[in-house]
This record gives sequence, C-alpha cells and structure tokens, in this order.
Amino acid sequence: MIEVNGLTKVYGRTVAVDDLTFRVEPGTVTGFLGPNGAGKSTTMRMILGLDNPTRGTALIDGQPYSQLRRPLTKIGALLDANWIHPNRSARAHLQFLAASNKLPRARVGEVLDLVGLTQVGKKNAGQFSLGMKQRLGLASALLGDPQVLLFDEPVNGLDPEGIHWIRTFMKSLAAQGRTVLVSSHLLSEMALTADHLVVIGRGKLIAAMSTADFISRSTESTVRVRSPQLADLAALLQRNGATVVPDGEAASVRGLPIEQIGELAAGAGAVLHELASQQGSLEEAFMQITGESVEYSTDRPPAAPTAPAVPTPGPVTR
Amino acid sequence: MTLINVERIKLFTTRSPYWCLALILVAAVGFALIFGLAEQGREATVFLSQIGLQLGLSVFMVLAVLAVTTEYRFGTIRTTFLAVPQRVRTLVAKTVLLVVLGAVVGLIAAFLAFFLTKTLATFPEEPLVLETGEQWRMVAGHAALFAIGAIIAVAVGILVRQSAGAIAIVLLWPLLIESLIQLIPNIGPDIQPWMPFTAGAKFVSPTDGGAGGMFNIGQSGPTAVQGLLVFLATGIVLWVISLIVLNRRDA
Repeated sequence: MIEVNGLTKVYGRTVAVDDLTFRVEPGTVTGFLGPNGAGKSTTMRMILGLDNPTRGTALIDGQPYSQLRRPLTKIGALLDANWIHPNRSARAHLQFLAASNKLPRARVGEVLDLVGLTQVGKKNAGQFSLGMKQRLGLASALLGDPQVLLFDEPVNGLDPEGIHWIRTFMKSLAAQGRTVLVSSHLLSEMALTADHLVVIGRGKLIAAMSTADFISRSTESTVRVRSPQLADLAALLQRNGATVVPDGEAASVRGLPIEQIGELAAGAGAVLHELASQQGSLEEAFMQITGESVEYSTDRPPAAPTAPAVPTPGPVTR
Repeated sequence: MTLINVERIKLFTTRSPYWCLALILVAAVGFALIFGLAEQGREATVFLSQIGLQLGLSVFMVLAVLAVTTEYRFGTIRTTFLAVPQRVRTLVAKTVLLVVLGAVVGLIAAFLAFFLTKTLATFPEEPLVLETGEQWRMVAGHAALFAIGAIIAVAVGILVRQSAGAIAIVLLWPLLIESLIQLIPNIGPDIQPWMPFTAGAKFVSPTDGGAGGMFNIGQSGPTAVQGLLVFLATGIVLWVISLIVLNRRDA
C-alpha cells in the first residue's frame, strides 16, 4: 500500500505539488491522472525517494522509500525508459540491478523472457526503439517480483502496437493481484485500465474515487433535438422537468431519457427533424474538471461540445 | 561487497573505462620508451622513467569522473538510487571500487614504465634500481596518487554532474590553476607548492629536488609525506562535501 500524506514540493516560488494526500489500496490499479505539468512525475519521484519533499510524507507499507532494504522486491518502478546507458547491454543493465538487491542471476533471464527481449538481451540498449526501452524498463521494474508497481506515463510516445502491449501487460499484472499506480494525462487510457482514479491539477488533489464514479459524475448524456416547432417543444419538455439549452435551430436536452422526449413530441404533434443521444466524452469531462487547473492554458476556447475532444499528446514530461 | 560488485558491473559493461585504461598504459610506456632510448638512456633516472604517469593520472581521473557523470547523463544514477535508496552506500561503493582500481592501475603502470626504462637504457648515469625508500616511493607511490585522484574525481563528478565541466576541472586544476597561483604577488610562490596536486606530486619526486634533466622540483614546500597528506585531505574534504550535497539534492 502507498500512503501519501500532505506531500508538498516547492521549487523556488512554484508549488509543483501542493499538500497532496491519497492512498493506493493493495490489489487495485489506480490511475494517477492530470494534465501535463500537474505534478504527477514529481509526486512519483518523491514516493520513490528520488526527490526530497518540501513537506509531507510518502510511505510504502508504512515505511519511507529511503528506509527500504532491497526495495526492488517491494516496489518496482518505471519512471523513464531512457534511464539506461546506451552502450550497456540490456542483460548487463538488469544484472547490476539484480546484484544490487541480491536477486538470483537467473531472474534476469526470466524477466527478459517475460517482456519478450530475450533475443536482444546482448544488444546495447542504445540501439533499442522506444517500445523496446519501455519493455526493458518493465523488466527492471519486475526484477524483484514486487507486489507494488509504479509507472509514469508508460504509453507516452509509443506506437499503437506498443500501447496495446503495455495495456495488456498492465492488465495481466493487475490480474495477478498486484497494486499498480500508473500516471497518465489521458483519461480514456485510464478508463480502460484503472479501477480507481487520483486526479490532480496544478499539484492539488481534484478527485480520488473509483473510475466508474468519476465517469458517471463527470459525464452527462444529453439529447439533441431539432424541430421546426422548437419553441413549443422546449416549453413542453421544460414542464416535464428537462433542462433545454437552445443551440440554433436545435437544442440539447438534459434530464429526460430519449424515449420520453420522442413520446412527448409525438403526443404534442411536433415534427422532429433530429433526435439523437449524445454521450459526453471522457476527455471532455476531464478537461472540464481540470480545466481551471491547467498550468499553461491557451486563450483558445475549449473544443466545441459536439466534437469529442481529441487529446493532444503534450510534451513528454521528464 | 554487494554494492562494490554492482559498481564493478556498471563500470566494466561500458567501453570508456577500457579506452582510458589502455591510454594510461600507453602514456606510461610511451614516455618510458623515450627516456629509455634517448641518447641510449644517458638521461634516464628512476624519476624520469615515471614521467608518463603524470599524464596517466589525468586520464585515470577522467575515467573516474566519467564513471559518475555518465550516470547522470543517462539517468542510470536514478535507476541505481531506486535499487539502493541509501545514497551514501552507493557513493562509498563507487569510491572504493575506483580507489582500488586506481591503486592497481597506478602500480602496474609505474612498474611497467620503470622496468621498461631500465631494460632499454644502456648507459644510465646512475644505475636504475629500486634500493632506497626514496626510489621505491617514486615508483610505487603512484598507486597512492591514483587512489587519491579517484576520490577527488568522484567528488568532482558528483558535485558537477556534467562530463564536460567535471573533466575540465580535473584536467585544468593540476595543469593550469595550480601554476597560475604562482603568479599571485608575494604569497603566490609560497603557497603554490602546497596546492593539492603540486603537493601530491612531491610524493613521487626526489627529496633533494634534483630530478635530473630539465625537471627541477623546488626544495621549498611540503616534504613527500606532507605532500601526500595535503593531497589526501583535499580528497576527503571534497568527498564529504559531495556526500552532503548528494543526500540533500534531488536525484
């Protein structure tokens, strides 16, 4: 279990992580979600003892990371796939890590096999593609067969095949009952893999709840109605408890199921040119929630609500 | 021992240490050849047989600096700290490994250079032998200099973190900075012999200052042992500072 308590990191005048408190329960996959620059990486680095917190604590099974002996057997992390020496072979990279935690040498071959790098184990890691480096990073995280795993943006920059592979791999880790904390700036990605979400923006905690709750709470379905008698119809729907937001010659209706809207229109004899259910996208919800807390926001208006917002991969956080 | 083994794996699974070690031997052997063969060895002395070791020490310090700075360059220092969060243990292991490597390499290169010069020199003015303590010190003493050089280089590497900057420091410090100290009016010439590298070099220089040839080491300044202690103290002070910084700093 990971417990983060009042964790704060201040760089000069910038507060990167602001009084963050959350728990990662054992046996769950928790998505650590936030826009780029929200402080996800900094938080993970503090959990792992790489960065010293300004205030607060991060405990792994009740101990700070710096107190752990043989930490690789307790918690495995993949923060940056590029943390490898380009002229050292993948095998040698894993060998020094195994030696540092007194893990048997045979384990190196096992994890190489697990991530499918056995063929290229003797190759220098500098020749690896990003996808292969990511696999090597996973291999080092799994070296000590830890119960807790931490991944920072594991699919960032990968091609679709690589993304699929990582996603499947994470699911299999979760199925083995391991605890996984994985960060991402893509809610759609997390919706596929995470049971719980910890959402932050500008270093502050925005939400910590189950993924299902988060999605149902933050996405609303609306019905788009187009009709020549829109004004009459709108009044009728409002009398039946719906919220109607006019949008040109159409309107989006909230609070009534689509079937009932159709029946009400038929009963009133109103002509319908369009009646369509619209599911708010996850990305929209995420942007709505974190919108105020995006650090480097632009002046552009947010994407039109009808078009599902396409998440643009931001700069890779290091 | 575990962590020294870890550092050993890390050091010898990349290429640059092998190049550096080869270069040290080339430097030692190269100068030994020159002094052994020039004028059929009439110029050769025990001290002059070791001239290449000065260059060798610089190269070894570059090796030791790179052992630290490449870890920062490629992020493997963070991978290491994830595996061993007690940073002092990693720093100690790295330092011990490089100190031992330095002592062994310094010793091998020094004896190689000495025996090569001795074999090649046909008519040395004085026989090239290792009899007095001073003669032993001038050859075997390089083991101590290389070992202390490793401590200084590791500390500089940790403090600076960038290869170019750290290498510039360990190369320019002995070659340039300590000589420039001499130019400070009045006190310059007095303190210059006490500067760490100049003082350390005393340990492998003849006591009477008459090094032979064009090399003349001044009589002033520390004795051989004092010189070595100055050099060692410099290393220890820098190393302790680097440890404090390493513990406080975000990796």
